[in-house]
Amino acid sequence: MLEMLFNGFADVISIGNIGFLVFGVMLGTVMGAIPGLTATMAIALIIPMTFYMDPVRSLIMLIGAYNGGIFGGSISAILLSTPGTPASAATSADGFALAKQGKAMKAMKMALLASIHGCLFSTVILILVAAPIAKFALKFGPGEYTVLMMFSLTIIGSAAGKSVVKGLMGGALGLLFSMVGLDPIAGIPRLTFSIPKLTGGIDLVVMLIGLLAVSEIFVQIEKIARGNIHAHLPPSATSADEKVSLKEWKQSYKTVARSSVIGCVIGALPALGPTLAAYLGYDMAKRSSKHPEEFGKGSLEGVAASEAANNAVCGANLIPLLAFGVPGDLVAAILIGAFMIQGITPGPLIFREAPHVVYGLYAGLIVANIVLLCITWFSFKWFAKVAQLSTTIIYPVVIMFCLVGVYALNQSLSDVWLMLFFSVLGYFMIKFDFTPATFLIGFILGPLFERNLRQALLISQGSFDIFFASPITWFLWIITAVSIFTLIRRNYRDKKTHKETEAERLEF
Amino acid sequence: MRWNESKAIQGCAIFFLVFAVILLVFIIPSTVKDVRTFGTSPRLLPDAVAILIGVLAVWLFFEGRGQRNAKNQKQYGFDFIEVRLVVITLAVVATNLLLIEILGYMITTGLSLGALMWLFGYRKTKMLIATSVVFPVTINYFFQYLLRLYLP
Repeated sequence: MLEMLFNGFADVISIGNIGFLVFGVMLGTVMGAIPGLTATMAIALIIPMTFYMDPVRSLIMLIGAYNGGIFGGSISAILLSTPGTPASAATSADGFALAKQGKAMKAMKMALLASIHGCLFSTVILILVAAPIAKFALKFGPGEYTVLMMFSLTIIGSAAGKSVVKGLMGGALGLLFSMVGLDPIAGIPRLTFSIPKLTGGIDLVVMLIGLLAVSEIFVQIEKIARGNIHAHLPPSATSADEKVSLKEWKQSYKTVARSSVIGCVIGALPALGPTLAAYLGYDMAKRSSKHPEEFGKGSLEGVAASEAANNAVCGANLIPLLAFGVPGDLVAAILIGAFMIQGITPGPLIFREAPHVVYGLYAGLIVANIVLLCITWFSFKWFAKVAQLSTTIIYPVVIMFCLVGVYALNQSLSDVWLMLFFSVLGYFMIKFDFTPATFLIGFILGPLFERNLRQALLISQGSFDIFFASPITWFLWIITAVSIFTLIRRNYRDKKTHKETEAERLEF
Repeated sequence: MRWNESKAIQGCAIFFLVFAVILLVFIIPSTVKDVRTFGTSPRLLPDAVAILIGVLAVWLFFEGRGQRNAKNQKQYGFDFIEVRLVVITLAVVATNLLLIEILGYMITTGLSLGALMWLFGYRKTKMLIATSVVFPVTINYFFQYLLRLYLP
């Protein structure tokens, strides 16, 4: 295996291959950073170019674009509070809060380091244990997925902020809107009001840009109306605000490592994706942090957690692809297309028929991270300078970026109108302290939860025993119960502390 | 228009309770057919979520009611001057969308960008015009020639 891996590196490290890899990473990063354009779009655009390339070159260029795209979303999340990709939504709260404190460079550098760690970790896992992990992933049926989704829904409580019931309400609304479209089992329209556009459901990116990005801009516009015009972000106060110190990295390392594992597990399970991984990683980090109150207000650990988890999906979602030819998500499905263009069929036989392609892909994943590190580390200063422009320039430009980005998804103005609807909804949610992030979580998990629940009930002919049928389901139920318990306990403690503080203040 | 936290929460709760009832009684039955051929009904989860919203609304109401005597409650509401600029921004964006297929992306975006910058208080005319021209031209080039995505 080592010899094959060295041969893979020898294939990858040539001037032509590195050049195409750099192009892929740069395109992916730029597209990931622009709200509305996604890593998936970057890969889809590169596919036609791969017709006339050799397999290793085409695959590493695609992987570079994917890596760059997933990371690129965090740049706009941190600088503009506008996640460039859904996977970076969990980064925007803490990342933007840090940027408002003049620590934009620190936040971006931590995001980069955590992303690279996550991706490299999952690549190592991919290389060493792809087959056993894929076999384990196959044991997940609809019953197991349903219970996993129930566990994932408990992160709504964690993302809720001060009021758990408001968070749950946001999550419930997200679940409701996720059901717009065709029923996943019967195939009939639901909640579409006979509008043809809604038959295809609501696109996640359209909802995300409206609910999280444009709504936040509307809230900021209120400050402009009060005459509060300033640079969008303050400059760094000290040189320490532009760096990640060794001490900060050490303090965050446990979080990064845990999130990388979470990202790997989620990536290895088909159909879950980097967004869920990011929120799960963030949630776990918040629960186990010594300072959970800092999350959402500028916690470097928060940025590290979400970025390590979402980038760890990059390598891990190739596990089911290579081991079984089953795409883990949309990106992996596009990669199957790229394989087939080259006349290669992913699956167990690929290790025998085209091992040089597999090991070239492994080497490409590792080199792509190094290229990403080199390109972005030195370009952060320019990104940060852009963010120091006045809000009177930044906000109109970002709004226009959002409009064109959403339009570009399906070349449909209906998507843009839908985005505006969600921006108004998000605006009202923020005004009344309902956390839009909980809506997003409900929206993402809703279809996964419903499809698996109903498939499970179909298989079991209506019996709920299927949700308790395997050791995996029992394990998932236990961690769900622990998650709910820690949430209730934390909520009770927070309320008690708040009451005691109020009582002391009144006495004083 | 301002409300204290307790009143605002109770108001939201009533809104959501009414919304849940409308969902259950009118919206879901009229937009989701109750097809039972495949075991579970397509209405299973919509109904469950509507009931959940109703239950959460009641919980929210009592949470708000519990805070009615709390001191230093946060104020929720809308300030006319602040909301006016938000509404105008929305109007500019909506007008952009209505005219985009008539006038084309570059013209409507240039005009909208300039209008928004002016409305937000940016008064450096040369920079305003430059941004309003350079941005849509650059984006149009990027999308049309590099990404092969055609804007209106």
